[in-house]
Amino acid sequence: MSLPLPTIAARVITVAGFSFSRTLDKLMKMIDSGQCSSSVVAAIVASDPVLTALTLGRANAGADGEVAQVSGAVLVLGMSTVRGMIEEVMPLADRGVRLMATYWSQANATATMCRILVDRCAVFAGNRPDDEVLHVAGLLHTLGDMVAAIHFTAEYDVVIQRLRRGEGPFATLMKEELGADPGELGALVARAWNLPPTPAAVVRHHLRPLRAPEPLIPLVSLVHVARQLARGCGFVAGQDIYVEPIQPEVMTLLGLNPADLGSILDAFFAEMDELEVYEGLLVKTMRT
Amino acid sequence: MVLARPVRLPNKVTLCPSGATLDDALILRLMNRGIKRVMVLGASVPQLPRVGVEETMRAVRERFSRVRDLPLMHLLEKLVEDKLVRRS
Repeated sequence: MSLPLPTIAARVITVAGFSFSRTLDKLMKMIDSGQCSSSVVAAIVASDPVLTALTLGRANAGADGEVAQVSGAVLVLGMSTVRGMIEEVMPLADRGVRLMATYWSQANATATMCRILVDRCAVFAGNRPDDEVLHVAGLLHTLGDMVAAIHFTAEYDVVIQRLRRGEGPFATLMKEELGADPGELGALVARAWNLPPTPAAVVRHHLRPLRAPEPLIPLVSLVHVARQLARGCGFVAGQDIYVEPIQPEVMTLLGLNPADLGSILDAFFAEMDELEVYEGLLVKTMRT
Repeated sequence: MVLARPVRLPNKVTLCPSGATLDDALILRLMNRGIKRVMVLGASVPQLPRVGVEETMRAVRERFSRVRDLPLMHLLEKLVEDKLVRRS
């Protein structure tokens, strides 16, 4: 049974942030110690998609321009506001921990892929976005899926059952069961959490990047390709294991040569090895 | 925890010698200096079981099973399979 968009929007307004209790405990302990620099707090926040979204949203609520970087957002907010925000975040339990671990790894792998891919795309020659903007774009793109998995569990579970039966792609099934596809749901969350325009456009349009606002089409297209490459390499989320098509016109728009994909994958695996998380994440996320 | 190797900055200046005990304060100070990992004494962490070649190929094929008829995605599947099999 699908819900009307206004009903979903009303529910989304009250949606609480969620994260791993270990991450929340670690952040609280570090902030309370009084010895922790804002850059360290920003680095921890920036590894978690939901905390990143909440931090950017809070910072943008009171800022004149767009705060698109987590380090800047932590500075704008100050430690006590960040601490208050963390206190309001719901610690994940049971099913949520396991499921969100896979979304977390997919988001971080996509963020890593964005940073590798950008230097191979002719469209960014001379106007390369900085690494923090790329990281945030890759990290947040799947916000709609994550909120569906945690806050719309009944609909999400039906979508997964139908996905496994081959009844259609994840986004189509979510639209049928919930009334909003991951991009639409993510856009509602982005609005409710006051995300700045750039990551909000990525969340809304990453499945169909050519529909993004014109100036943001290259960045959204980059995330579209990075997501599918990361998923192809095994960084899939929960039972949503199937790679979706990369739109060929997006490859053309980015100036990305398919012949470069081999070296891109090499660089990606090397980077994930360097992060020392690849093996663990891959084993956890690969469906056995 | 006790450091098994000294912690050095990229310019080779030693921040902490091997044998130093890591307490909360020292860990925070190292993190504030941008140190992301250190080597400590102790038994090695049990390795996660490696996924075999057959299982790797099966998982890749299942992931790409719904897009394989598209030339670009077929190319990507072959590349991913090759890279992952080499690693397994």
